[in-house]
Amino acid sequence: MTKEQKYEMLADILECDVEQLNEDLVLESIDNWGSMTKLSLIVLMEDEFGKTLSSSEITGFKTVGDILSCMC
Amino acid sequence: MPYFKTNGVAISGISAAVPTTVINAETLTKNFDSVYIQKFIKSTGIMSCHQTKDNQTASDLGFAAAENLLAAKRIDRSDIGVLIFVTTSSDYRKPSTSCVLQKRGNYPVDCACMDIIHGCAGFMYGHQTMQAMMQASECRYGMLILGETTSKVINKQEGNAMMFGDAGAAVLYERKEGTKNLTLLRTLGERFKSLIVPSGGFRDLNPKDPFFTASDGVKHSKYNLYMDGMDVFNFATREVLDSIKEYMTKLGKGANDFDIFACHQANNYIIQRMAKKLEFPKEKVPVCLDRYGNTSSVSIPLLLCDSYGKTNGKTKKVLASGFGIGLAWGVTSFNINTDIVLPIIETDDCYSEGIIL
Repeated sequence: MTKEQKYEMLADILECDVEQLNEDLVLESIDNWGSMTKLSLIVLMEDEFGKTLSSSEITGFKTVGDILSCMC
Repeated sequence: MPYFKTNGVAISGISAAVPTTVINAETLTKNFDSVYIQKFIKSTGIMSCHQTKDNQTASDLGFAAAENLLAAKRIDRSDIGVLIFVTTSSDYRKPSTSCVLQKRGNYPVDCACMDIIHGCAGFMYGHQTMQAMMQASECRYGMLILGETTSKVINKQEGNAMMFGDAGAAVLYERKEGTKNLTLLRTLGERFKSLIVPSGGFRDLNPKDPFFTASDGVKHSKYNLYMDGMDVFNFATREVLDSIKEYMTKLGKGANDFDIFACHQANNYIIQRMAKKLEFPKEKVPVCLDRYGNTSSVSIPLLLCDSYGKTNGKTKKVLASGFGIGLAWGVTSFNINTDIVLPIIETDDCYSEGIIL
């Protein structure tokens, strides 16, 4: 999977444009980074990457880059 | 393994009751902006719910449902040998609310009364306990009453003001030769803090600080329900889902063998994800949380009344799963004739004699 595709997936669950996202972007600064987005992320990681994210792992994500590095 | 087998006991009636006051997007606009409300609706699937006024309790709602059921069934209540009340919203800290319901409903002295303190898994635990008690006795009927008023322990200034609805239900059991039941019950007590009202019990009787820092890093009142949404979501879509699959394998049945999957009404996202993973088509997965919210232990009987209250003459094979606070969960299955499922009633009645002056 290319980096662009991962950005697109993230933009989809964050309901924003891909252009708005970059690796250093702080998640808390994104309007839609809330409880529902976090649930969508859990589902995305499980369905697309076969990874089981715990609530503490998600709390540990600070930037878009933190999520991207987990998408493998 | 906590698979419980019972035989000779069947469900012979279901009734549900909700208060008349409806909370919806329109009423919430006083406290929240409309963008936020629309986001809430989209993420939970909940568009409205019914909430009690101050004096009305969970047992008031359950009592109304039970009286409605007894009036329809026309059975002699002196034949009811077991009365179980499932709730986490007791009338008093002591005694068990089932004792109060016995007096109020004029149930016989020859009747075992007990409360089961469980939330969203409560119907699973009540259903199994009732059948086991009846099987072990000669009681002709058993009345399982469920009630919850979660709206009283949520911070209405927070985003989940419409998440939890109040409701009550009554499920009548009778002896019926040839009926077999298998119920799976499990518990993950190590995650008891994921859904909790920390004070109001005896552990922290007079808290010096009425606020606590929860797993989300934010301060919450100890008297309100705190939910770690991500943890509960993971629990539902992993442990609970795996148990349902395991239960179906144990029975040797698949989605085709059931008419409906009666899933606890927690969040539409969870319900749809579970349905998809279990390969239940949408038409077999009824939803009522859009109008009633999460009604905890009442949600499955309420869902059945919403789905079949006005249907007659059909038998439905039901696969049901309740899961939540504890964390506790269960899976069961049973057949019901739609004739014995009553339409949902609305009531604001409360037990004025129950207020101790």
